[in-house]
Amino acid sequence: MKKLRNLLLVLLVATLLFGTISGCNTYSGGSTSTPDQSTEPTSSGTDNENDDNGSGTEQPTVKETTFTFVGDQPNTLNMILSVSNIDSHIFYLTSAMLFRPYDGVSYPEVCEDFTVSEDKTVYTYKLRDAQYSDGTPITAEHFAYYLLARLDPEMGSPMAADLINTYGFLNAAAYNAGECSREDVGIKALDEKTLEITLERPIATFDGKLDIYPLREEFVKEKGEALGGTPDDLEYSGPYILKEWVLDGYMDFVKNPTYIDADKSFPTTNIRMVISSDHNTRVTMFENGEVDCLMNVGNDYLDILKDYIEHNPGGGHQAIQFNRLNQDPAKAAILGNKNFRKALSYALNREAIVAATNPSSAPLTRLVSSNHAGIREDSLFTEDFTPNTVPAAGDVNKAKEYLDAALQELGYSSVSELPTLEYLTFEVPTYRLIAETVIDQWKQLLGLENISILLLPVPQAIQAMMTYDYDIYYTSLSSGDDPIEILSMWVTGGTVNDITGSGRNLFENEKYDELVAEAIVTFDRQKRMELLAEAEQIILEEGPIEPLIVDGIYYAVAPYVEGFVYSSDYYQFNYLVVNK
Amino acid sequence: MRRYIVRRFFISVVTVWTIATVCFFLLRLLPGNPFLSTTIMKQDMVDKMMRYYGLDKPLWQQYITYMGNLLRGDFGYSLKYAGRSVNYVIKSTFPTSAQLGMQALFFGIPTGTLLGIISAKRRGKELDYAFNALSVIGISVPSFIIAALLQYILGLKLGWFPVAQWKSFSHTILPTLTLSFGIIASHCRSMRTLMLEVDQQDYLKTARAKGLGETRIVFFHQIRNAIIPMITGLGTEIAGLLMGSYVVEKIFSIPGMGSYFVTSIQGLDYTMVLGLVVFQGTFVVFANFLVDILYVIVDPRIRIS
Repeated sequence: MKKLRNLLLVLLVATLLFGTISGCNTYSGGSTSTPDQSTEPTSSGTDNENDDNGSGTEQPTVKETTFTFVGDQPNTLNMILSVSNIDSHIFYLTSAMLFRPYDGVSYPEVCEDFTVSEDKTVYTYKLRDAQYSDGTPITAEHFAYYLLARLDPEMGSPMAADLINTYGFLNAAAYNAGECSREDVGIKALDEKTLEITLERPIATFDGKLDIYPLREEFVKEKGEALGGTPDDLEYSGPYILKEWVLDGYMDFVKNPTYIDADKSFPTTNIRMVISSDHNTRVTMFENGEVDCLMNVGNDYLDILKDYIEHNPGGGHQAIQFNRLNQDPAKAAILGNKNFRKALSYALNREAIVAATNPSSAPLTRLVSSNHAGIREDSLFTEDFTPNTVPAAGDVNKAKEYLDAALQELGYSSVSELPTLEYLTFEVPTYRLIAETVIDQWKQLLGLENISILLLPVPQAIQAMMTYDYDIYYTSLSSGDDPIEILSMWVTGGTVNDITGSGRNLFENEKYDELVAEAIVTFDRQKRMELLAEAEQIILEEGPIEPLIVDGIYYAVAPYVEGFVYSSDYYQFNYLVVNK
Repeated sequence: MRRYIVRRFFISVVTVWTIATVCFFLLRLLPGNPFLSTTIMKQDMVDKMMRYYGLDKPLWQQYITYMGNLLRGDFGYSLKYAGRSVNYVIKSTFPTSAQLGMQALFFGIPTGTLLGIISAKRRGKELDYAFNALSVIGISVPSFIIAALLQYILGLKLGWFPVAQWKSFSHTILPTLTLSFGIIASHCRSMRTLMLEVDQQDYLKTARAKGLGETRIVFFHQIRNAIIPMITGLGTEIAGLLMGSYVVEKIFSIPGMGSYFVTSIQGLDYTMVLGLVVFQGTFVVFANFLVDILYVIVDPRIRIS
């Protein structure tokens, strides 16, 4: 009996310890950093029109090279539900495109050429012969479906509003609202090789170069909810095939020999993206030579990697938004007071804030981003037009003047009489740090003691903002490719101004609305930019939001990597070579 | 014994069901919306997403659907990571977390217990002080500091082990050491205390009085009695370790489950949170169930009523 009990004891301990981990050695497969998967061309034959595969004058890339870098894991590879540029980083590698952006310019890829109707509303695209990795030809229908699926109200369509606002396809808004059928939308495949896009009205900023992907309706239907979850639930028409995706571990890509421009671009045969969220670990891996590139280096590690660090300045715009529609009338009056908002803005030393919180960012004193083209394609908007705005280092005297004027207008005798205002921001360390720095400056310079920080988790904070249940909100806006994108967010009914679409606008100015509306249909570049500059001056003067900082990013590349181009939207490895 | 097991099993199932139900409704009480965690959307766009995922239906209807799927072992698809099913996330990340947890347990528990025994037997000597100091450090120094130190010394300076990632056995050594540090420390301390407690008991005096050898006393009487209370906490400890450690997995870039617990609740990813909680709940309940049976076997004094 005692023996039996001892045996049972041993067995139970063993079950407890081993039973649960059957198959836990999945990752000990000894995969080294260079996967030896050779990229054999599929037998279906590559059908390039002119170039002969291999025997051409360009040296064919036979040598296996691997580029290993630390990047961000995509949220989803479901093109319809994707809302993040972290996902499009990967689509750029796995999918063909109508036009492929590279280093700031869009080049035709599957598009052979396109024509524009005289009234600039109908764009007709002729397609080249291209195919998916399984040999199926890419047709115009697939490009049309990609756009239509993202507008389909039955498919979630989280990005529909952006598509409608940016391009204004004919009947797209009606289709998304469920008021017309898919056939009525101005996105049509005329035949296998012809795609026709019709806009509701001409748009000056639309140059016809759509950076869209092909997507097959049958494939989407077949995969259902599983679409884009694993490498098998994805179709490949681009430069690379996703071979393996170990969640939170790495993603392995191998060159796709059937990609339309496989001979001319993407010379690196293998790409491994390592996923690591810890800055210290990333840096150590880089120092150790385990990875060739870091897409994001933490501010604390700039000294260690100073020989390899590069800076990319263009990023999201951070601004302070004032809720003049506050439920509390006293607060609404204060936050709606122009002089009060100006006082808060002029008190801030943005240079000091940047230095204290995040050196990769830069002070922001206007709405338009410093990397937007201006009057000419090769000039900068921010250099062509200098608005009258707050200095980057602030101006305390002016701030005090504004504050005195505000208090007088509002009927307060001193700042201590003001009700307590809450500064709402995300419960994220960097956001908290910025909030503390900003509030500290207000306290020190204006004597404003009645401002407190309210930290909420991201969804709750956004919810509060969308229900106008806040006083001051630290907001983040994407700057887009053209000054008009950020400026049109603030017209009456604009995407940010009237966030819920309920007609409650944080900012209303007829002149501003007119200027932006006119700019959208003004094809003369200089004229358009002048209109936008005038609009920018109005919104800076009225100040429904006060620009604060613009995000930047530090990245590191090993010296033996050639042809690296940084982009916040895509992994542009088009001509990247690793000489290791 | 069989009746006891059947009854305990039944209670375990009810416990899991209660966890799932309470968690399902509690989650919906949280303010915020899962689709607003990554991007800002207009209300009608949010409504369309809610409809797409069936979140616009009455709550009881969603509950019935969810429970029906749960019975079939289907946790559903993540709301935040479209296309990624919760089952797939668990299937691909749990083995890694479990392997790491197991390695840490296999190394940590015997080592800690052994150190505790030695410490107790050498009470008041240098070795006792050394082990005591070690366990105080192990308990009080947070794992991210130990991890960074190990990475720096054993990884970067000495070059013995890779600093991060999860590829071969050598990649697992540093995270295992980091994770087992705390286990060793806590087990060393509690085993030492337990050993000393048992040392005062009458039956040990009797054993000594009847002239038994010290080795025999330690191995057959002292350790066996001292180890019983340690088993109580084992179920929860094992379950906790196998579910992954957010900090250690983050620092060593290990594709484990730990981070999902944190990110899913931050992003209000209802299905992911529920799936993970039900999975972990089931695991803890099951582990405790086994420990209870183990307990009865180890300690003959406990009889089933």
